Amino acid sequence: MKHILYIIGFLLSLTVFSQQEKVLTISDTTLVNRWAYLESNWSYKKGDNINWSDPKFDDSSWTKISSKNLNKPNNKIIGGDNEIVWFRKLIKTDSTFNNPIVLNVYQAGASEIYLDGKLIRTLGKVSSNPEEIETIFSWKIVFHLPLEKNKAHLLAVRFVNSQRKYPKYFMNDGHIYIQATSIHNILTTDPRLVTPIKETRNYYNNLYIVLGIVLFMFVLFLFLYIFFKREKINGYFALTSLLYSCFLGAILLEYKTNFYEFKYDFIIGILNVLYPLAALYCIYKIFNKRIGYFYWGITAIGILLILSGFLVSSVYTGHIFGVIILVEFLRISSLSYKSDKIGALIFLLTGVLNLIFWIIATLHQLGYFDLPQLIYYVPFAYILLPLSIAIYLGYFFGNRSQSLRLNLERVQKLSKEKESILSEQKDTLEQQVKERTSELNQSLDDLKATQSQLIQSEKMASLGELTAGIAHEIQNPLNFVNNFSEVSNELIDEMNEELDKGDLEEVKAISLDIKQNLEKINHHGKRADNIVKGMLQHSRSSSGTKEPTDINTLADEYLRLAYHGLRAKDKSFNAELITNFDESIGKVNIVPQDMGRVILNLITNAFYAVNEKKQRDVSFKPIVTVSTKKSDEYITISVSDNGDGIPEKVKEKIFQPFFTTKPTGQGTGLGLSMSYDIVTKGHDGKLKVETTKNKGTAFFIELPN
Amino acid sequence: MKILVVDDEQDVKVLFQQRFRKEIRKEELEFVFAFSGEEALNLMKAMEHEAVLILSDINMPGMSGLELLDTIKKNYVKPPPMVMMITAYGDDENRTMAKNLGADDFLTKPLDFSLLKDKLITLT
Repeated sequence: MKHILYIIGFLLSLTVFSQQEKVLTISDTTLVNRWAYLESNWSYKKGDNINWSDPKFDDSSWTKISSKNLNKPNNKIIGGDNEIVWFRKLIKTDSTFNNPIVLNVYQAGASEIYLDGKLIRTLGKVSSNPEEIETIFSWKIVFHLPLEKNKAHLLAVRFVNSQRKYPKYFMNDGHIYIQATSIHNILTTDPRLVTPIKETRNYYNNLYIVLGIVLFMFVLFLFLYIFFKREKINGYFALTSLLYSCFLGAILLEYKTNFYEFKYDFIIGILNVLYPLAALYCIYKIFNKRIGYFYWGITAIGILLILSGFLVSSVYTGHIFGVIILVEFLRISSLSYKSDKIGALIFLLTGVLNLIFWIIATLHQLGYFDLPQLIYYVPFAYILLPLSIAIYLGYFFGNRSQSLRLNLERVQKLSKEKESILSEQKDTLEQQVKERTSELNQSLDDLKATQSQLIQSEKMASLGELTAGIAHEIQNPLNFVNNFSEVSNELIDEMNEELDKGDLEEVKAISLDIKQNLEKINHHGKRADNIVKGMLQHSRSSSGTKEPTDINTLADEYLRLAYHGLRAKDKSFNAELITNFDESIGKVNIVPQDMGRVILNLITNAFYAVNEKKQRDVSFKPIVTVSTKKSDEYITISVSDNGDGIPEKVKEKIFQPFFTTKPTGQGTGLGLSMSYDIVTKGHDGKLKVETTKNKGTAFFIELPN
Repeated sequence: MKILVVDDEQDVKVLFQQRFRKEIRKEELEFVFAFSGEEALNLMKAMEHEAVLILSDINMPGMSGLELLDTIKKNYVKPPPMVMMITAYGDDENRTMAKNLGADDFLTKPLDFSLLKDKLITLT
């Protein structure tokens, strides 16, 4: 509401310097393209008499004044509260007068306008009873003044200076200004003519411009906030701009109505506190200041000022609050000079400019300067604070964008460098991976070779164990082959002798023996052949092809080989061998070399186990049993002994490669692991073990039937 | 004099019968066959009062020839039966062990029957 005060201030100052005129004579050209104040040659008298409107009444005894504000000539009030004053003035028209005249009354109070004793307009209600007075505070009430050509007219004004209910203390100096122009002027669209008070017109025009700028800032910062909510300052500033827009909007709305009303004054008073508080909040946030006692104190003052709107117009209080905000604004800016020089300088500059403006304006108001056009720039003074925030935010975000851009460039550069390093590392890694892969492949090949060697070693080791057995097994058939052939030879000699004797019965008997011997030779020759073949088969790499095999024979052969092998190495060793073969098994589809190896391994282990026990206990009778059994699901080959059994801890590991309980050099630790693989992987079977401490161990090979 | 032949090989019986068919026919030699150490001991019990010459294989399942030798030498002190050991291979270790246990002679497979015949005839 400062605006009204300033308007009034300016108007008041104008009255001091206004030109004195004689009786106004109006011709057709007098009021072309202008509004003229009816300010000269007025007479006034306090009191109330309806006859004072009569043109014939002699007012020569009345006081003469010349003033734009009729109630305050020479800066002194004529009519005090509820005091009725009459003003009279003579107006002449010449013979050229042709254009109708209109008047504009700008008043605070109530008035009646008379022309030649006739009431032509009532503005409010004039009454000697204060209760009945109805005040109008208006700056634009335009009406026709019906003047006649080439005639003297008397214009009389009955005016009462009265106050409204709220605010209680405002515009105690009731005022009334009367302006005139030709009707032609106000019918044009020229804003200079439509609005009678020039200063007001320019002021409001500038207010529109400022409102436009503020609304633009509001929209801009609102969307900046909506699309990037992390920057809360944009939101705060959008809110500040909105409150400021409302403030300006309320002033313009009041202006449009042409009347001063309390409701507008009060709303403007509220907004006049809220928008500077919001602006101050923005400054606090910009400089990262804590919202502390100062801010809350200022807020409390603001609330008090809003409430005081019932007593004093916001025209005054808004002024006070504006000064407080400005001081705090300068204080915060100064405090932040070290941390943010540019920001502080922007705000200090704005604050100082604002301060200079208001000092000049106040000095002007007080009459030290005559700067009638200063009021035009008041709206721009209002906008300085929000504008400076907008400028700062623009600078801040611009600066940050720049630094972000630089950072981005740096990051991009770094990324490229990293990319290149990564690419190099990738190449190096790939190379290393290739090398390692190659090394690993080499290692794998070596391992495979070693594995084959180990397998071969295991074979050879078991073959070694068999050698003695094989020797024995071959010697036996050879013994028969040699001796039966020798006997047969002798028998043929005998047969010849008997032939010579002619004893054919004996010859027949001998020939039957020879035949039987030949069968024996054949049988034992085959037996030796089988042993040699078996040995070769055992040492050869497995063909991996399954073939129908007599499991019972296979088991028996290996049992004997193993037994004799062990006996050959250890003369003291002996064991009872029990075979329990299920003759219904027939031939089973297995890889004979592999399965033979498994059976041999289990039997060798069984012998080893019983032999160990025998070493400790002389009375112990070792028994090794080999059984086969056919069921619906499986063909089971079991090898059991009555040795010490396998401890639980050892049992978990027996199928692991290289695990052995035998002394170093005696076992490869591959026997059972190979056996496990042969049974499970090679034959889809199962290799199970059951063991009881001190009672023995049984291995079961279960092959799918 | 009965000669007890102990061997797990069944065909030994046929071989001996043929090899010594003339001697058997002339009743110069009499053979009894056992196919394990245990069986041999049983036969020994049955032939307690007959003079017995034992020809035993060493490598046999169950009771080995050496065990049999040991048992016989320990159980039949008066008169001690003659025991000749036969094995498929004549390594020194077996030979020494057999001698220590009281074996009277030592033969290796394949058996030289003419040598054996001479020895048997001499002994009997």
